[in-house]
Amino acid sequence: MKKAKKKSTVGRIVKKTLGIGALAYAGLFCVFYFDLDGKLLYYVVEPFMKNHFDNMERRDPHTVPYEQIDTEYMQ
Amino acid sequence: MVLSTELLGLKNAFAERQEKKAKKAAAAGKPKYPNPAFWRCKDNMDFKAQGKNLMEVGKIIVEMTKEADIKAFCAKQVERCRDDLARCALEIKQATEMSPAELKEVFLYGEKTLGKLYRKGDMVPVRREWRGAADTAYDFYRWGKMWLMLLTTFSRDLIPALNSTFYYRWMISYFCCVGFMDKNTMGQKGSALKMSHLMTYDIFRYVAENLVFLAKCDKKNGNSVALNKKVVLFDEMTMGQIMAGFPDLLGIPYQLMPVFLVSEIDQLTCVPYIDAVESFGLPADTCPVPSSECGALVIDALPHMGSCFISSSMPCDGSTMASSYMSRRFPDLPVYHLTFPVRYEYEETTQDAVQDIKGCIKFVEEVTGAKWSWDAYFKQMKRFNEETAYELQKWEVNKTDYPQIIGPSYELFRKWNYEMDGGADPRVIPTFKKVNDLMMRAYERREEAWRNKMRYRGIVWSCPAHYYANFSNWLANCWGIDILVEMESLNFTKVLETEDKEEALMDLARLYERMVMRRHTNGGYHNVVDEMWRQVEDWRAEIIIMYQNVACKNMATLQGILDDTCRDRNHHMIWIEHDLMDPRTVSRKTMRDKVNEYMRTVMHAEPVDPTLCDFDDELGM
Repeated sequence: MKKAKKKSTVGRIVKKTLGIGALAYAGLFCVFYFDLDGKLLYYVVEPFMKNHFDNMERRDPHTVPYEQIDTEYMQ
Repeated sequence: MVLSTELLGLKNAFAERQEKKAKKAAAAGKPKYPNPAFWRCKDNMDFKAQGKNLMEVGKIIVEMTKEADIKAFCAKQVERCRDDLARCALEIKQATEMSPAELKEVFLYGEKTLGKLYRKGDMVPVRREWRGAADTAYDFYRWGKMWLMLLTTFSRDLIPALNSTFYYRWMISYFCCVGFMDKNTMGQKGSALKMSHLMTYDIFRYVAENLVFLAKCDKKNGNSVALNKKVVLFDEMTMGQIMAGFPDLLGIPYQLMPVFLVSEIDQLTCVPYIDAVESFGLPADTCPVPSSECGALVIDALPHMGSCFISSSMPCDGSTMASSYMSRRFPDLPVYHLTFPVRYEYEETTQDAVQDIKGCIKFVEEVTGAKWSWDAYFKQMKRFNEETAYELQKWEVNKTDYPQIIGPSYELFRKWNYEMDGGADPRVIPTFKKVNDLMMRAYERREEAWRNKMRYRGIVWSCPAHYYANFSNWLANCWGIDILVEMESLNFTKVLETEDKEEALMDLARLYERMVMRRHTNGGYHNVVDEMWRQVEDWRAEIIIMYQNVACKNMATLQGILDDTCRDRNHHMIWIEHDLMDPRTVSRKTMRDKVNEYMRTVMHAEPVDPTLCDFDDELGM
């Protein structure tokens, strides 16, 4: 009796694991086949990052004197 | 405040264990690469400054959310989804109209037309290619493996790597490297696909590891003082073999990641660099490689790092411009100018080059305190010789009627292995072995690199457009022109000396003098013209794809001679104009149109895949 119960529990776990594995596989395959990774990067991440880079405060090289060699310039 | 290996106690213990293992492996003759000590170097991040950066990022997110037209964004996504669904429905309809035999053919061997994967104005394809059941499954496996490798490598020092992503515009282009892999393998199946994936993986692993090292060393990010002491930077166009004698130092081709390689992944990366340096008055017809390098310095796109910098006049004197900009931007970095004689075929000049190498070794020893090790040098060169032997085997197979290992992945691998790796990474040898086995088996089975598509044998001459690194892939898929070899692959293949020290330095000098591009564009016109015809005969090429970049003065001076000799021989030569790293001057579409026109009007040929003759990828990565 105990053995059968144990067997059924093991079977359930195996089935569940296989099911989850199959779902994960199918999901990942969809991401791969429809290039969802590329689409996420291009449609969402890239516009945000572009905006971020455009708005970042950066050293303006046009204002740096030609001869200037100091620590501030090197940062 | 420091948040790094010492703060993350667990990670530190793990790194120590790893290092012990690595020492054991090294003692057993199987050294770990890269040296685990490099990963273990502690970071010295200025978290106050990083906090400020994060605040800035937060502010931008808030502003973006306020300013963004969410409705328009969602509408656009819905429109794209609808278009995707309509395409899916169309493809299902087409499948239902197929006969069972046709359907079986597509299911097992993949789709035949690839133009439908592109959509106007999009950076990414509509979906990935269906290569047939087995090959799509393999492609999927390699895709997963690549992402896993990228994520695990970045997590080895995540915080500086993430900071770099928020600081450097070019870092974001590397996110799309998997898409670049797709572009390079488009249309490939079977052994060709497997070989391309194996080679690309090694390149990307090298890139990912070096990106983390850049982030760790950069004074604006990881600021690892310990690692910076071990880092020797060299110009991206200088070969890495000289570092073989310094196993405890880390040699990094400085501009490779922020400029050179990324411009092959993302065609738009170098545009801001070129604009920046031209706004200082640099003429627009200067070679885009040093122009971009200088522009990257102007807009602060290069990390501030390393103990010294080895500059060079390679492959041509354009590089010296970037070297002087580099010295001006980072005056705290000692620079050694490694400048080899141009007339390299005169053996008496080799002694000059050897003196230059000796000077460079002495310079590195003085700056870093490291000592040159002949044992380490010979060990790496033995590995490099083995790799060269594998390379020559590829050439032999490609010269036959059944070329196997062709296309952009192979070209990229060859250049990277010859110039950047140079036998340093022992993990590359198994790749060579696997690729060689696959190639020989495919050759025995008489496979085609692009199945049922091969029409013409082609060769590429002159320097190629970075922003169209997969041009040879398009040539194969659209017109059946299989590029057997490119000029930049045909470099020094002599077995390097691994016993006599003086002779070894002579060989090293010869190797450097005949590096990628320099081998042909320097040292006299016969290296370009006569050598091209010799190679055309050797590889039995029917079509020459002749790149023409107005900024490449060495090649531009020979245009007339190349034309004349081609007329004399009545050979097919297609001139493809481009601007190396600036796709605004000559777009990818214009490059394709040149081939389309020639094939239709001169060759009277029909395209293998007509859907690829005209498509839009102006914005595409």
